Amino acid sequence: MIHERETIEVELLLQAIHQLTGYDFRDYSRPSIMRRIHHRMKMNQMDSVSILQNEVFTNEEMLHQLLQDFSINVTEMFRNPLFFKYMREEILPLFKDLSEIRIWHAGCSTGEEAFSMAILFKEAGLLEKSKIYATDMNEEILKIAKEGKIPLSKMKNYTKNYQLSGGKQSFSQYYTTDEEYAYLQEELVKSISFMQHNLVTDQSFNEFHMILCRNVLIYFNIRLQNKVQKIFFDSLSTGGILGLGHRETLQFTDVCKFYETKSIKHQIYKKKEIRYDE
Amino acid sequence: MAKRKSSIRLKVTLGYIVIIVCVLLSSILILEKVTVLNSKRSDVTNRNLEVHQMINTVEQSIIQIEKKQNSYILTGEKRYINEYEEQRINVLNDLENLKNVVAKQSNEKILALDLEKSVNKWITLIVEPSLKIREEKSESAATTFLKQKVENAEIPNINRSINRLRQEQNTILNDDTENLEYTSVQLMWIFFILILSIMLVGLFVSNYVSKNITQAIQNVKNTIQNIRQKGGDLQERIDITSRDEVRDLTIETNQLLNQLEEKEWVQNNVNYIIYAYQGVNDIHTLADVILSEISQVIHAVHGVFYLREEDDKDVLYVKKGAFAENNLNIGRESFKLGEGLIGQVAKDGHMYKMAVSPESTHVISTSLIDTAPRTLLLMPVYFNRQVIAVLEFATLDTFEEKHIQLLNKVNETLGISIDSVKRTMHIESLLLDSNRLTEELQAQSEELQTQSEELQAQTNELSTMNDSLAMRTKEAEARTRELALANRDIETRAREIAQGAKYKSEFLANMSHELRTPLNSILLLSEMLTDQENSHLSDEEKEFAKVIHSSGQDLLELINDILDLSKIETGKVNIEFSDVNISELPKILKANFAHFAKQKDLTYHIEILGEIPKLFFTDELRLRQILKNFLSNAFKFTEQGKVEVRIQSAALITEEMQKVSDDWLEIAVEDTGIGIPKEKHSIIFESFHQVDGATVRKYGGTGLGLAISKEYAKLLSGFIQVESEEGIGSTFKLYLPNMRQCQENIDAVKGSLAVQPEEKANIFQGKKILMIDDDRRNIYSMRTLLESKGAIVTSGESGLECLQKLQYNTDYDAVLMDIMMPGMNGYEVIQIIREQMNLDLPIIAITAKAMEIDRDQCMKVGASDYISKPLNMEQLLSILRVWLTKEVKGK
Repeated sequence: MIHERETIEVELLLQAIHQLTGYDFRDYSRPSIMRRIHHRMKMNQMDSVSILQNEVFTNEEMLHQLLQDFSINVTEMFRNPLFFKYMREEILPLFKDLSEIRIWHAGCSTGEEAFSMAILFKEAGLLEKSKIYATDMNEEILKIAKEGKIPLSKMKNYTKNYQLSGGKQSFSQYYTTDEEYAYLQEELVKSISFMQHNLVTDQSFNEFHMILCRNVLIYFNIRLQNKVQKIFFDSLSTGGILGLGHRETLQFTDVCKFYETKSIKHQIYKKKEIRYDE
Repeated sequence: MAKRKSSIRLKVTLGYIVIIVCVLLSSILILEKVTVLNSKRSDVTNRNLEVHQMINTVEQSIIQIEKKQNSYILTGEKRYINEYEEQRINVLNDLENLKNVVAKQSNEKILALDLEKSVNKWITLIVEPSLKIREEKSESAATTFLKQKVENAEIPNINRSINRLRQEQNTILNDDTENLEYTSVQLMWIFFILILSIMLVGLFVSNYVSKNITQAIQNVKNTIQNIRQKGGDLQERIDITSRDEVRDLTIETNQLLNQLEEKEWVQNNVNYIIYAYQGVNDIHTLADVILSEISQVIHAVHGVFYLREEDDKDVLYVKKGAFAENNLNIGRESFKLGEGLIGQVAKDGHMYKMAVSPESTHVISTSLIDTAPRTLLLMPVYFNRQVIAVLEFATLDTFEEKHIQLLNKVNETLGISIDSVKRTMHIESLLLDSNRLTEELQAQSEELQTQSEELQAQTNELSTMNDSLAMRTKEAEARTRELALANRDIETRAREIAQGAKYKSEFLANMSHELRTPLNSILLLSEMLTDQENSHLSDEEKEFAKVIHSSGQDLLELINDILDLSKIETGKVNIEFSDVNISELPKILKANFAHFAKQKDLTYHIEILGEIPKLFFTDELRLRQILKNFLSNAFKFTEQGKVEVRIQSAALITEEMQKVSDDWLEIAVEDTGIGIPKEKHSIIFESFHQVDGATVRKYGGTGLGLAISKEYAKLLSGFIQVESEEGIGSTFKLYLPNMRQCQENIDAVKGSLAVQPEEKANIFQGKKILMIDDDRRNIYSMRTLLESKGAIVTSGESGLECLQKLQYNTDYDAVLMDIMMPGMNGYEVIQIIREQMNLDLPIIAITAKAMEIDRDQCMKVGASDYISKPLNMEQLLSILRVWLTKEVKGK
């Protein structure tokens, strides 16, 4: 009974957020959204979703806070290093002959994976003709991303990841440090265009040779996953590459049959040569 | 089979007959012609022979007559007369014969008549009279008569006629021969013409017959070819143009085509239907697709799909889809096995076709009409010898044989497909669940990570808030303090002098920096010169080098002191307060100066008096520096006696002191040295001041030690007192407050000393770094750099040394390891550290060149990171900052 009531409350809250801000979380994975809401309620000692909703209506800051809560920003450089190793060895050579390579990193968070990709392209000698677009719906997180600075405490792990991804350079050549942060080389940061883009409400904005969207779809329900996959499909050039998170899969989506699987282990797919007409 | 009126056999036979008849006719014609020719030829030959014979006979007879005449005339014998008579009749007969023979030839006839006339004339005029004369007269008379009659010359006439006759006969023969020749040629021509004609007729007939046959076959062939070229379009049929066997062939072929077309129709539609539901992996979609596709093909107006489902008790056939369902929802939702027709069909497993009475209550609705179906068809679908589904169709017409065939054909694979869809759905739902779970797990783990990061952030935020609070207090206090300081400064010195001093300090700071660099080289090189075993330098030169080295060392010390002092004066010194274990202090001080005491044979004694707090909150490094200065002065200026250190809680705490802390430490260093005159007590704490010039010359030193100490003491909120009597000894006392009790006071002090607030905590401060490189210059430059950052650097020049150092003490924050070393190389050392010593401290490999193999090798043996020579100092600092920072695990 309580559960049912709460379901309605959450529905209303999401509706409210949508109308207030334009951010649409209604097709997000409901258990995940519930956890985020509960987390916020616990932090602010609220007893029901309705109280939170009231707060959201009356307190701009709470609305903002909740939006930040909904945006999960977990990322690493060279996250799942073997994915990047595969990219380095099997995928990048495919782009060798293109005159311009456009890459879309959707849901980039603080940009670590986009920077990793930039390093990959740099080491393959392709960075100069590459355009990396990194998007996220969270503008605040994009501000951080644009600075290209990483807390020193994370760099050991990133160094290990870099090496596991088949990196042959000295990773330290890509950053300088002060007492708190490592600052990525300006060339790397400059090679990426960070832009605000919401996968739920926005459409495709270019044609790309590669789209990376890792650990974003896990927060969506199947309907939204299908919708987003359609956007990706429409944004990929023929033979373009789609890379997903290692727990995500294309298998149950509508566009599945229009891709050939490059690596099931790393969730890397290649768009087939036929057209998708429906 | 239709009766045929003309067969190919007849046509061919007729053709042959025509040709044979022609040949026969022409043969007869030619044979006849040849026979005629032959008879003509023999006629001519015979007649010619006869004529000649006749002529010869006449001639002979004439000769015989003459002979008989002459014989009679000579002999007169009667016998001759008879013979003559005989001959005469002969000749007349012969002539008659001759006439008959040549009767047809007018010329010959005339000649023969002439001959007859001549002979008759000759006989009557000459022979008869001569014979009469002989009979009547004598021989001579007859002879004479004859002689008379010679000029009558009947004989030559006869001969002439005969000859002419002969000639004429020859001419005729020639003519006849020519005629024959001509006829023979003519015959040949006729023969050729006939042959030609027969050939033509033959050609015509065969052409006609073959054309007649092949045209029909061609027709069939063309049609079949057409079908083939159109890719097996079986709609075309062969036109029946002939009435022969080809017509049979055509009819049979057309029937075959009909059959094929029907089969193809079935097959195509089956394929089409199967293709339509290919890849469908949902049973409802499958049902709808099958029903709609089949209904369209067999013109059904209704279709329902029931799928077998089992629960605990019953087997049910449940409706999964319908075609042309109206709002009444055709068909019941489910049937039990054996229940109703559906149930019955499911039970029996046979297809069931049924005509529906027109009064049937069920109606088919379109937008225009409602009408009742006429035929029903129920079809069971098998899988594994079990009726897995039942399909029902209704039509307004009737189901044709091909429709049934089609259904049977579809049925062959439908069972498998339905089962596979059922299975796929099952597997897919399981997979989907598992996939959702995996994703959910990932999402949860990321959320957890976010939460932990948030917590971390909150902690950081709290500490930042603390810091900024402290900062604010600091700033406030700083202002007060500044004021106080300024006031005190006004009392003691002029502001301008202070300013000047500051300029001086800055200048010194910069200068000493500049000086250190070349000095480092001098030190390094001079040390190398003295150290080299097999050097070509003489002992004296080595001694010089030693002097250079020690002078350099002094100079460096001086510069360092100047730098320290200028740093203090410009407020660039970092003070790190921490818990210091005071009870450890004696041990450290003892170890550092015991050898000086031994050298000068002095008593060196350190003691702790009374109770002191075990942990004392202050800056250990500065404390030690101050005490080091005190002690080195003490040992420097003491030639005999003792040096004593006493550590105790301060006996007397003034009010002013109490403002800072309740807890004060007093450390006294007493010596029995040369002492300091009273009037000089204040100046020894000023920069570059020793008691007098002579002291400098005698004892060396920079005279900066006490000035620095005083400043340090000030930084630690403490102060220094001196008690000394010239010639007896000196006692330097350091008073330090325990800063724990008054955190804000520290900040106040810090603030007062203008510690730059934006300066972050120094990562290198106090970090222990082990550095292994066989090249001393590298060690030297790195050591200088790192020590300037506050790191504690231990170095070794070989792998072995490294291992020894690690065996003795593993407490290092990072190891810098050169790879290219003689003896044991870096790889081996790292491998031993990792595998045998089992240490996981960060090891940063220094590879000689930017070579990939080197790096792979480094990673393989367990280096944490690598950096390439030539070393970029900024990069070295960066990489060390990363590895000296405590890791916050992402996962």
